[in-house]
Amino acid sequence: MRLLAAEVLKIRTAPRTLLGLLLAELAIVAIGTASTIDSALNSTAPPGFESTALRNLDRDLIGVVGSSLLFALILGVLVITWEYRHGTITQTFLGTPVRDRVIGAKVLVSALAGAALVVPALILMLVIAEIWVGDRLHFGGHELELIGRTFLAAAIVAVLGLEIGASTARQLGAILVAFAWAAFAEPALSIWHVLRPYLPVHAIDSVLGSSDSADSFGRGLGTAVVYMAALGLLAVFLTRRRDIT
Amino acid sequence: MIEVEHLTKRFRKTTAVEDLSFKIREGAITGFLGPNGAGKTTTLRIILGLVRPTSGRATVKGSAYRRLKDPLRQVGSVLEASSFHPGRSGRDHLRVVASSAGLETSRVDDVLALVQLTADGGRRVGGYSLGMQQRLSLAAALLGDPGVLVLDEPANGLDPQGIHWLRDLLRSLAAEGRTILISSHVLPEIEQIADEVVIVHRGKLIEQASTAELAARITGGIRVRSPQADRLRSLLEEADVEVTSTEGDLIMVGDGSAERIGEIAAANGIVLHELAVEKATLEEAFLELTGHETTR
Repeated sequence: MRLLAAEVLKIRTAPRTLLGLLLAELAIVAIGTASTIDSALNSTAPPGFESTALRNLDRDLIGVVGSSLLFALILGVLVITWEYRHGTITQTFLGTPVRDRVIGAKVLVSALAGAALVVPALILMLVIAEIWVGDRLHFGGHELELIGRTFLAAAIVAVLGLEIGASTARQLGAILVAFAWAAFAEPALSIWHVLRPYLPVHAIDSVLGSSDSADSFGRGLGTAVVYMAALGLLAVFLTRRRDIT
Repeated sequence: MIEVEHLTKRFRKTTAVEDLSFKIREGAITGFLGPNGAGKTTTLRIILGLVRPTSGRATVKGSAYRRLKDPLRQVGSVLEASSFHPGRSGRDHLRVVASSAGLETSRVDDVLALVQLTADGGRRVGGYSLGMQQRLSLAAALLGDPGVLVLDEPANGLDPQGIHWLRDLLRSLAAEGRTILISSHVLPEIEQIADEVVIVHRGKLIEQASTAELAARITGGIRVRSPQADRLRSLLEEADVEVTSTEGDLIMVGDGSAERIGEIAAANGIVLHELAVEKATLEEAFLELTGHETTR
């Protein structure tokens, strides 16, 4: 418990980094929400019918909240790499020389912090949508499930970010690795359809369930858990062996 | 208390520490000296479990650091002054350290007062001077009220008043029975506070001795002044005592004991105005042992 409390304290007492991340997230969500609503309102449909964009507005707005996953990933990376960057990892390992325990505490805190990042994004999206198209929102059980999945996906992505950060021990390196994978490596590998269900971004997409190409929630979650476990083992192995010079 | 046994550490092709062994006595202040690149910092980090040795081992109170229960209650350390999140306040930095190590956060204000940072505790560490960061490092080291302190260049960045303050602090901590291992390039400071010294060079042990023993062993010669210097010089040379120089009434003797010189003078009725062993400073001893390379 004390390690968890210490990790939470580390995040709370570095408010500028957290604030910067939060502001960037809110800006993206605000732009995304406005753009989604605007394009739905301006979409055309035959007389007497509702356009597809308007019909899917609830789902698409929740999809905009999914952009907070990007910031959950960065937060996960930062939770460990800012310790290496500022040298505070020395003090952390002096206080807790069994490094596996440090990684374990950071995994839990990253998951919680990553999921927590969804909250402001969700609130902002709801406020904008309520003001603009409140009469057209019909949030029911399915939408609530999608919101729940977004929280879960954000927690998973934050943990993956932490594990990549712990493995590389470099802030920029970890973020570049994650983005290079998502932007280039996975799309390239997705050419082989047989591989696609086992790739991490696809698995996260399936957990989110907000796109038509996603697999079942269970399969996506299972694949994501395997990635978390494998990257977690790598992170522990490399962290144990790393010399703090 | 602290024991290093056949320690070797290689970083790829570079051997930082090679078959190094020494023991640090409980309750003593031990200076850890060596030129740049001698392996001091690597050795201290191995002792603290931050660097994995290639072979050999280092223990504190009989255990590897990582096996110590509540390590910050047993060992406090200062390794580098810049290990802080610049956006965190000094007080928050100590709160984080205390929280992660299970120490009472009530100690935070005590140690801030001890290192004279109470007024600046709420300021962001990014705005601290190097000397203030060094004081904050010391505060973190003292949070757990440990019996052992491992300090790597703790005087770095301190002004003369700060160095004086540090000396007094270390003396008072040692007087409470703590074991202190301190690496420093300010040799006169080490000479003033250390009971023993461990000198390393190119990763190997060159010397471990008490400060007094080392200074006595490496003397600067014996200084003799007499109005009958010429006659005394002849008598000393007849007795196979090596006279290195004579200038007026002053004779410098390179080897031999002051007692013997006194006896020769007395036996021959020679008046002596001065008979003194010129002690080498720690710096002179260090330079002689390490071949005049600079320290870090």
